[in-house]
Order: sequence, then structure tokens, then C-alpha cells
Amino acid sequence: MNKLISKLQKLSQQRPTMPKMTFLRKQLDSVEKHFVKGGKLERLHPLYDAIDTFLFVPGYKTENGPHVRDSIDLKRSMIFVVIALLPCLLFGIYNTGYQSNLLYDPNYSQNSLLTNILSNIWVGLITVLPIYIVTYSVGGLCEAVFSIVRKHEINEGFLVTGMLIPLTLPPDIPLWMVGVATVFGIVIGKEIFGGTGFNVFNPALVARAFLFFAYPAYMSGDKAWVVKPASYYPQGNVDYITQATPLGDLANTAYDGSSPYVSEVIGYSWSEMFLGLVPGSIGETSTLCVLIGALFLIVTGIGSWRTMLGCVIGMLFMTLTLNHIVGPLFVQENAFLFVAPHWHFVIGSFAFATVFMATDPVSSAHTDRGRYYYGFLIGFMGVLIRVLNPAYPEGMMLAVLFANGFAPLIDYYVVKANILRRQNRTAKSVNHSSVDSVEKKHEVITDPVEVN
Amino acid sequence: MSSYNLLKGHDIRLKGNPKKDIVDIPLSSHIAIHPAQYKGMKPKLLVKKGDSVKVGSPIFYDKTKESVKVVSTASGTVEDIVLGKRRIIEKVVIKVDGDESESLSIDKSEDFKDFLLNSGLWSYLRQRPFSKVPDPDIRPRAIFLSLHQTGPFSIDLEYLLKDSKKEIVDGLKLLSTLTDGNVFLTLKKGSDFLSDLDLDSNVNVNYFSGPHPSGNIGVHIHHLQPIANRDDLVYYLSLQDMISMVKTYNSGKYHFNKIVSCGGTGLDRPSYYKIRRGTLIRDIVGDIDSTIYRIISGDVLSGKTTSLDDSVNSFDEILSVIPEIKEREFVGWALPGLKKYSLSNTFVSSALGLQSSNLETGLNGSIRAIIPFGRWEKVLPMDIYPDFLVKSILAKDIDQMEKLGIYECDPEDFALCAFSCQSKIEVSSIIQSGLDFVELEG
Repeated sequence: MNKLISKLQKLSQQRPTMPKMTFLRKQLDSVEKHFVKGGKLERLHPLYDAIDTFLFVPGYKTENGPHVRDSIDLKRSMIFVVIALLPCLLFGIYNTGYQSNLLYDPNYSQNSLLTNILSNIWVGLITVLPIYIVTYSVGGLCEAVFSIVRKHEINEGFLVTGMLIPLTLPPDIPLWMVGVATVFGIVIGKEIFGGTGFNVFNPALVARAFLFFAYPAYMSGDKAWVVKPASYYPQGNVDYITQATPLGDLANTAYDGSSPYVSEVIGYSWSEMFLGLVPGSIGETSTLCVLIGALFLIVTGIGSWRTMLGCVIGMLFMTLTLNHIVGPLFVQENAFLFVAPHWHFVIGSFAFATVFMATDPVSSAHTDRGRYYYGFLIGFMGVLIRVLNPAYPEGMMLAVLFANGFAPLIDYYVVKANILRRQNRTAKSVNHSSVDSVEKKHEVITDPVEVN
Repeated sequence: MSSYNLLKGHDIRLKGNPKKDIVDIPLSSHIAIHPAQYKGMKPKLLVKKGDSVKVGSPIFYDKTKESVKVVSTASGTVEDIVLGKRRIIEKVVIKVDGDESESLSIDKSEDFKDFLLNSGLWSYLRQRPFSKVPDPDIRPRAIFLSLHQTGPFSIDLEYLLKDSKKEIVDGLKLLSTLTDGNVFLTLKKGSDFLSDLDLDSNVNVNYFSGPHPSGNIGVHIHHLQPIANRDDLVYYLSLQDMISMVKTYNSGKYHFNKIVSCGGTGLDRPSYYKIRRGTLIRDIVGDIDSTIYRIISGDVLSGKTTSLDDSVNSFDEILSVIPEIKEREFVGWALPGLKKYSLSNTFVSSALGLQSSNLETGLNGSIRAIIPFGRWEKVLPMDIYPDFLVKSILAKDIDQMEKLGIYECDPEDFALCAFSCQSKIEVSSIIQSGLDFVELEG
């Protein structure tokens, strides 16, 4: 007995507390030979690499340059965006069920609270989960095919894109549309440019814009976005209900001489809009959840607070201009002109686009200074399109795509300013040194060099 | 005099910080001189195997600038000459025997420059751009020295040189004869090291504060008198090297001792070591299993991997010994990371305030495309856009590189960018390749 105890003690001293997963590691090592160059499955190396590095931190050693490295990698960075999106996702699931039940369940007001909550979650799950399954399987397939053909690693960027696409969609969207949009977003939005890191536009928004322009009847943002799960309510006596979204309401309201009470027009109070129990795209309705995500992104340093700040300032600037200058003086038939900034903040996808779409590091401006201008442009254009363009009640998606296109130009001027600053600084430092040395330098330069 | 408070950067907290005790290492049986370390020199050997040399005997000179030579730091016989790839002279090993010295006749009326060239101490100087041994025929615009060191395991020069103030005053005066511009001396903000010193009017004293790399000479040059173009030269050298020059100049006897700060968990006794230049690392730190530990001449950010049978790089004052990566962690990207070292706040360790870490040599992730989260900018206290500079280097666009400030750059200033990059981009190596490219083609 004593022997056994001492043996166990020895063993426990040898083994660290964390399981080492040596079995799994051995299995992976044993099949690795098939996937490396010259192996039978050489072409599938990206798949092996994806699984291998998913399970174990890569064992590469530093060669030169810094011999030690930060623990962060792209997987960690991307997974943190996914975590930041979780409040929106969970709330979106609940809200989808809630909106559906509210509209289609005749007994909703009589049911007990617990029954309602559970039923909301259930309806939300059976609506939202299929959308996610389609997005991740279709998108994952595209990603895998491209990485094998183009011989690059499977990139973690898709984790975020796949998370974002469903959240921007209305819950009643047909699944085939989700699939088509995902393919378009991944292939046209990202892979044809070379994959994550090379794309010009935000792939999730490219997918969303594709649906917007290809199937405008589903996507225009002014019609019912409430799902009716036929299987769940076979006895439901309502076939089809169109219910306007707040943005659609506002866009269709004429100006009657006095500033409108927004809450009367859209039928929801500001706090309800802020909390997000309103119809809309799956993940965009709750400004509160978006703000939780924003806080998370800013604290962890994954999302750029500069872009977010720029967006909010751009929105404030444009809204106040419309409220106080353009509205009263020029155009008066549109009530939307007089909607105050705090309403713009909670209506539609402003908050979501600001926090999760605009901050995509690849498609946004690449300089810190440029990020302010880039964000400003998004806030400015978003409100402009929302309010003054009758065809598109929601302008944020188009504004972000527009700014994506302008980001390189913004960077170009920021970098140019840096070049000018450098020229000024270095001109000063050359002037500091005395004339003598400058002359000597010229002597050296102009020395006749023997050629031939 | 002005002071600069730099906010960007990071001080890496490593375990095994050296103590400030100075351990004297006696002259050992062998010394090694590495001609390949002297950037910008095309070494032509003056000795062959079996030759006997004295302290101060020239070992090799530069084929392109014949007056520049490097001398032996000990007396004995040349035991071995190691050639590397493409017949680069990697190492000259001298078996030490006695301590006989070449006679050094110093004529104080001649130029300090001639003294440096004759004595072989010119090779202590380096120039920016390109961080190479300078051409004595071109006068520099300015000379930079720093008492403010910030790299991991770096030497506390103010502590070390507190008894050498007279040499510092003399040295600055002598150095100012090499340039028509200023001699810049940088100190840590709040230091009263110079309070009782009477410095030459040509000496421009400045104060810097902030995390690493606020002590890098490249950062100082950038803020004080940035480099305009490839012909706009400044010199820089270490203060220890300057004091060696002064002591040799004043006494007429070679002074080849220097203090090296040795740190890292691979060492039994992380401390300051006083060595003869060229002393083999084995004689300083004893036997170390190089499969378990990596021996780095220089700091862990910008140093070079070396071995026990080599000497500390002539320009380095730090020797780091850190553990090699041992094993691959299971689902490391998903764990809370209680002991993970990171500049990002994505591990629990940053909330708990991880004091110091025993960082290994792992890359800690897969290599990916450049994704500009803004991490590089956060650790680069210079008005340079690293992202755009790196891309212009990869595109080999010389014009753009020059506009974006390649001449102001040195890989060591960008080491933290590479450290903190989530895509594991080798920023330092790319900057070095850009410098090599413009030097050759520009």
C-alpha cells in the first residue's frame, strides 16, 4: 500500500496538472507524414494544418529578430471578435422567438412568463441555428476549397465573417439565400483578392449587399422581418403579416410642420429600441448588446476605438446638420430629417455597423489617424443615405462599403502628410550641421568616379 | 537641452534579471574575434594560423577602407581561422599566452581620428543609416551616445559609470573633434548624472523617458536630428566603448575590458560580468545545454543566436540565455492564459498583472497575412508608419521606402513590432532586408 502511495506521489510530481493530450498529439504526428510535401495527401495539407494548429499551438521556433514573441495569434484575435458578438447572438435568438410568438401565438398574453421565455428561446433557436449551420458549412467549404487550390492555410478570418453574416440577415430569410450570399461574400468579397488580409471590402457586408441588390423584396429594410415558423404553429390562422420596421416607418412619414415624436411614429420608446426587443435583423436590434461587445473589443484592443469614435462623431455631425440646417431651411417633406441623434443611435444597424463592421481591420483605414476620418465618413454617409435616399431606408451597410472603398485614399493622404512632415524635420536637421560638413559631403558625392 | 516623454513601447518583463554585482572574469585560455560581425567591412586577414599576436596587433583590415582595422584583444597565437559559407571569415581564435602588448605611441597633437585608426579602435564606431562601421573619409553630421538603456537585461550605465565621469567629459570633448555638428548625449529623464560636470559647449544633452525602445539610439536620432538621406551620416557608439577609447588615449595602454550584462533563466547567476573583449561565452557563463537554452548575444529582442564557443558581439553589452520552446500547448488559443505574456489584453494574465515571465523561443502562433490591428504602431515611438514601410519593402519600391523613412530605421527599433504581431510577421528582418536593398540598389 505504502509503495502504491509513494508511486502515485512520484507520478503526480512528474505530471503537471494540465493534461498533456499526448495521445492526440501522437495521432496527429503519426498522420502528418501523409500531408507534408511528397506525402499521399499533400494537397490537403491546409486541412491537416487547420486541425493541427486548432488543437495545438504551433511549435515553430523563432529564428532571428525577436527571439521571444507575444502569446497572441490570429486565432486568439479572431475568436475574441466572436466572443464580442455572443451577446448580440444570444439576444438575437431570444428576440427572434419573441417577435415571432408575439405576432403569431394567439395565447401569448395568457401564457405564464416561464413558458413564454422558453418558447421564445425555442422558436429563436430553430430559426437562427439553421441559418448558422448553412453559413458555416457553405462558407467553410468555400474556404477549404480555396485554401487547397490556392495553397494557403485556412484562415481564421472566416470565423468572424461566418458569425457576422447571419446577424445582419432578417430571420425570415430562406436558407438557400443564406447559402448563396455566403458563397458570394467569401468568394467575391475575399478569396479572389487572396484571402484574409487582402480583401478590399468587408466580406460579411459584401454578402449582405449581394442579397440587398439581388433580392430587394426581402431585404429593403422596410417590410416585415418577423419569422413565422409554419411547423411550430400549424394551427396559426394568420397567413402573412407585413409589419413595418422602425426605419421603414420613419422613412414613410411625411413632415407635418412640427418635429415628430419618433416613438409615436415607430411605436416603440427609446429605451425599448435601446434594449432591442423590436423587429429587425437577427443581431442588430439591441444597442445594449452591441455596446457590451464594443466595450469588450476596446478593452481587449481588438476593435479600433478610433473608428468607433469617428463613426459616432460623423453621425452626430450629419444628424445635427440635418436637424438644424438642412431640415428647417431646405427640405421639409421628410420627417426623418428631424430625428434626433440619440434615435439614430438606436434605430436600425447604426450601432452594430459601427462596432462590428466598420472596425474590420483589413478593410478599414490602416493608419491610426486615417481611422478617425474613415469612421467619420461612415457615420456621415450612413445618416445621409438613411435620411435623404428614399430607396434605402438603412444606409449603414452601404456607408461602410463606401468607406471601405475610400479607406486606401484616406491612408494615401495620411501617409503623404507623414512624408511631408519627415521632409520638414530632416531639412531642419541637415541645416543644423554646419556648412562645412555639407560642403564636404558634396565633395564626396561629386568626386569623379572612375568608370571603366 | 530638451526632454522627450515617449509613451509608445513596452518593457518586456523577463525572469532572470541580472544583479548589479560585477563579477570579474579572469583572462581565459582563448579569445575569439568575429570579423563577420563588423557590418560594412570587407575583412582581409593580416594573420594566419600559427602567427603570434600581441594585444593590439592588427588581425584584419577593411579592403574598402584600408585605414580601418580590428586588433587583437589578447596576446598569444592564432589557433584557428573558421570560414563560413562563401568563405566569410567567421571567427579568428587566439590561444592566449601572457599579456604582452603592442607599444602604442600617442601624439596628442595629432587628430583623435588618427589615433582611433592607428589603434584599431575606429571599429567601435558605427554610423546610421545602415548601422555599419563608418568610412573615416566622410565627416558625420553628428555623434550620438546614450546613457539611457531600456532593452531587456540592459545595463544600468549610470550606475556602472558613476566613477568614470572624468573619462566621459574627456571622451565627449575628443569625439566632438570628429564632427562639425553636435555630440548628443541622452540620459534618462530625471537623472542628475551630469549635474556636477562641465561639458563642452558642443555637447547637446537630452533627456528621454518611457518604455523600451525609448533608449534605442535610432529613436533618439529620430527625435533629435533625423536622418535625411543615405548620405546624411551620423556616428554612434556605446559609452563603454568611448571610455575604453579615452583610457587608451590617456594612458597609452590598450584597455580591452568591458562589462557585459548577462541575464535569463538559463544562467545560474544572472549578473554583470567584467570581461576581456573576445572572451568566449563558455568562460563567462559556464556550460549550458544549447538544446534546452538559447544563447543570445544582445538582448532577446534584437540579439543574435550564438554559441558557447563564440564571444559576445563586439557591439553588444548584453548576453541573454533563455529557454527554447519545449512543447506545444493544447488548444492554447482558447485557454484563459493565466501565465501567458501578451501586450494585448486577450489573456487573463493581463488582468491579473503578470509580473514577469519566463518567455520561451516559440513563435506562439501561425504565420498569417498582415492584418493591421494597430499593434505595430502601439510600440513604435517614431513618426513612421511601419505597415506602409514594410509593404514598400516587400514591394521593393525604393522611392517609397525613402519617403517613408527607411534611412531612419534599424531592425532593433522594430523588434517590438515583430514581438507583438499577431500574424507573426518578421518586421525586424523585413526592415533589415529593406536596408540591405536600398544600400545596394538605392
